[in-house]
Amino acid sequence: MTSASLLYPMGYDLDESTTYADARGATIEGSRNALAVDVESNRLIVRVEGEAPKWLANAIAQVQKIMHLKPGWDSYDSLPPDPKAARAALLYLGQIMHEKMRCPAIVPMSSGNIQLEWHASGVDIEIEVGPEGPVFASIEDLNGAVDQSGPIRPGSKLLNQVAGLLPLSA
Amino acid sequence: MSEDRSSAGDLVALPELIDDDEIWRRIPPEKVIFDESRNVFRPSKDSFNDHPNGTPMSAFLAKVCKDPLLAVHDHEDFALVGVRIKVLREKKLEIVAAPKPDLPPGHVHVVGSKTDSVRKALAKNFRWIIDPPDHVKSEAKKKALGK
Repeated sequence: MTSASLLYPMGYDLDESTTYADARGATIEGSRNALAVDVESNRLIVRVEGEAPKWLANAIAQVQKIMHLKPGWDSYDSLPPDPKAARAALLYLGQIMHEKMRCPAIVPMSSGNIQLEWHASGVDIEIEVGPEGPVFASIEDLNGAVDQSGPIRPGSKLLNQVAGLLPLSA
Repeated sequence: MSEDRSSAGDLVALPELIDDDEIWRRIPPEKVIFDESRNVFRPSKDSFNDHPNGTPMSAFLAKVCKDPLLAVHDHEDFALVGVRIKVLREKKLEIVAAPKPDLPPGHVHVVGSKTDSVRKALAKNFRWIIDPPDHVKSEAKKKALGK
């Protein structure tokens, strides 16, 4: 079991041996390792069943950095990143990422939401994630073959397209 | 020539603007991204949005501000981008004077709808006036490559 306690507001606990069937946050299962993310007492707790995928440590490190941003961090009255949006972003990544996929750049937005960005292999993919999950997606192919963007609704085809276009690790 | 009232209520005039004039916008280090497909560093599209409180996007008019260092004064590791007035006009964005006593000269608001396509256009049609510091670029590249 790997665990670490990090300074507020971000902490993580990567558990490689325990099953969290009763995770308080959403739990993702299936062909991928189960991943649970909770916001507890101003900490974000990440738990994974089985071996943690490589992208997860990278994603956690990025989230950890941005969660320290204070109000006004962009010099234009920005809000600090919302821990619930960070939780939702990690859970969404848990749904779409496979072991060999490339971790996105995790970019804080002025609104407090989180943007996941991939700009590689000739494709631009940007997913805005709010406290409840993805709210906007944009996919653009450099060749012009694909150029779609729009708000995310339940069962959105746009969101389903993302998983098939994600670049592999460099 | 456009006109607007400043926060002090004075009538403020903008100089006449041609397509090649520019606005300058600060970019925080967290919004510098590396685009591997194009092999360039650029600002994330969220860099070109209104304030969360609804105030239109702030910027500096280059021909009035004149000194890029003034625009990033006291903002460590921030970069500065320039966007041509032509790009703003093509996206139906309007420049309105918004002088404030505590800000460098040339403070303006960029008024108009910042849809996804508008923000994307601004994020791809810019030039660096002050480059991001090397350590910021290095971090952005590391993130983009998933390392």
